[in-house]
Amino acid sequence: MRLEAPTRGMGLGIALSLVPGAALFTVFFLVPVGVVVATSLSDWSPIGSAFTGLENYRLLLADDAFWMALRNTALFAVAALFIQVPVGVAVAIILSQRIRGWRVLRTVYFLPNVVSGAALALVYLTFYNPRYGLLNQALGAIGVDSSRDWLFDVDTALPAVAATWVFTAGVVMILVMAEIAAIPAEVYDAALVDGASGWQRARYVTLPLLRDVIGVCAILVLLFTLAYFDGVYIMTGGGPADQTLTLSLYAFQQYSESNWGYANAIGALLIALGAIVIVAVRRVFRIGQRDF
Amino acid sequence: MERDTTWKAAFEPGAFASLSDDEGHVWGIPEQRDVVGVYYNEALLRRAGIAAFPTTWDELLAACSRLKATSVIPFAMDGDWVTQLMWANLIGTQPGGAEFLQSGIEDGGFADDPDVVQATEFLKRLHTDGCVNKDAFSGDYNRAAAPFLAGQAAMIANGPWMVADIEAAKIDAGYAISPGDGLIVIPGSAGWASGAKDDAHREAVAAFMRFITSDEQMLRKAVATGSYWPTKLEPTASQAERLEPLSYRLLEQVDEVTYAYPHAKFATPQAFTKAWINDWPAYVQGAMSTEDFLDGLSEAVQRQR
Repeated sequence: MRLEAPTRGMGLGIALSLVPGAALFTVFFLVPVGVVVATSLSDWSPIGSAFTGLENYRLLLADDAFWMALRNTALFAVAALFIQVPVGVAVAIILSQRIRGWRVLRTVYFLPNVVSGAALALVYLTFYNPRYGLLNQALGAIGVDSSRDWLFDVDTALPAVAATWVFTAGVVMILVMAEIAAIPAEVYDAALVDGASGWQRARYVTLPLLRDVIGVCAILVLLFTLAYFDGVYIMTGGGPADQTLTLSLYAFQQYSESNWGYANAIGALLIALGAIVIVAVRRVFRIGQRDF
Repeated sequence: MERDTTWKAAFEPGAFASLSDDEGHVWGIPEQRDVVGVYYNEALLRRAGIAAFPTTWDELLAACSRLKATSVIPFAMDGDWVTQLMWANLIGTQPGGAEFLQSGIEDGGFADDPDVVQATEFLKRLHTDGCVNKDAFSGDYNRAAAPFLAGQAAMIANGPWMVADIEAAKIDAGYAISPGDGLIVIPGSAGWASGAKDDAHREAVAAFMRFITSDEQMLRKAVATGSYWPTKLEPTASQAERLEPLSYRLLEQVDEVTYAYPHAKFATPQAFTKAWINDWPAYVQGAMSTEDFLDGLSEAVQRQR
């Protein structure tokens, strides 16, 4: 689609109207990103700052905790992409069939998204508590004897943390439901005339038309995992033995130990990873491109 | 303070340890001196047939077995503050332990110190033997305080500030020196500092400091808050009657115990605490060796020095 050129004489008005937005973008995004990247090249602490080039990045390569944080963040990203998005899409497709009580189910499924992450983390701390938590009590009720400390056991900490958000796909569901609602009824009528079953309509009509919105959802959940901080900070602090440490949390820990340059090297890497995620997902899902 | 030697001499030895730089320059005036012991629930100990609080570490293990048999959590811990208090007790009640906790701990190399290794493994054993609450790992103090205050745990190490909570919980509690005959003494915490730049203001600050650290004011504060004085104040019998009895009785024993030593947090940076909270669960579960756990703590100490 081609946009028409602005009417002669309107260029200045358009440029002026862009100034506030551009100024805000510069002050609140470009400048902080510039500072993060610039200071990541220095040994910056409360004592002072000295340019050290790529030394912080060289140290990162030899830092076991960094690799663990990168591994955990990558695993969270995989869980988000291959569990959270499909779950949200599946729920959206099911609820879009207008099954009985779909409005209530939609609201209930979306509810965790309106509760603060910190509050949810506190709830899960209690849920997983090995002494009085609901999980171990429920397991006991069905005859499985467990006194496992799910969040502080090296074997279960990472999946236990992931389970607190990976099935909470309310945003994915809402976005996909909105997209499904915008699909013209004629498309489904044509499929019906061709004798397509409900499953076939979902598989061969609905899903292909959801490619853009699923791509957007993939970007959203992946960026969430890169920035994931509050839940893991409250529930485990990154432990035990860094098993749940994420890149965002590790950057914060380094900052709180006054290693500001090192923390910003992690921050710069996060920005780069975010940019890679956006470009890669846009390409894979061909977001915004038409097939017809 | 250098000019008023009488005032300086009125403070307990070590009162300025945490308020001085490496060259001995005092930058703050201590406000309190805390003695940290071990609280115990007398009813739970009695029910388990334990006549008196354990005085040795072997007795503590024996008490643990008896308490477990009555379905009571023998010792409440949290994976941070309370757990490290017991680590300090285990180290501090060894010859040379006080020096280690006072300054040696800053040098790291914990895995090379047999007393530290032994203390760490004993503390782990308390966990693996089931002598500690199952949720003793988060680093959240409430994980330790809650079972003790609910009457589910028999013992907890903590300072005099916990007395008010214990009274509110209506627990028939005793307050004992650590097994091994030792006490954690935090000699001069919560200090006063001044930014006065001229002599007139410095004199005024010094006068106020002398007033606030006078016997009368220290006693008033102790009665009102339950925190004790960093000075050599010796209250009369009638003055002592106004003090909180549980913690004051412990304070009176400071000069009688075999070992007095600071908390492990006294000379360690924040990174030490973070490393402890992070690695302690993995170590107790057997995912780390004692050497690896202690090396992690040593690295944290040296990284932030």
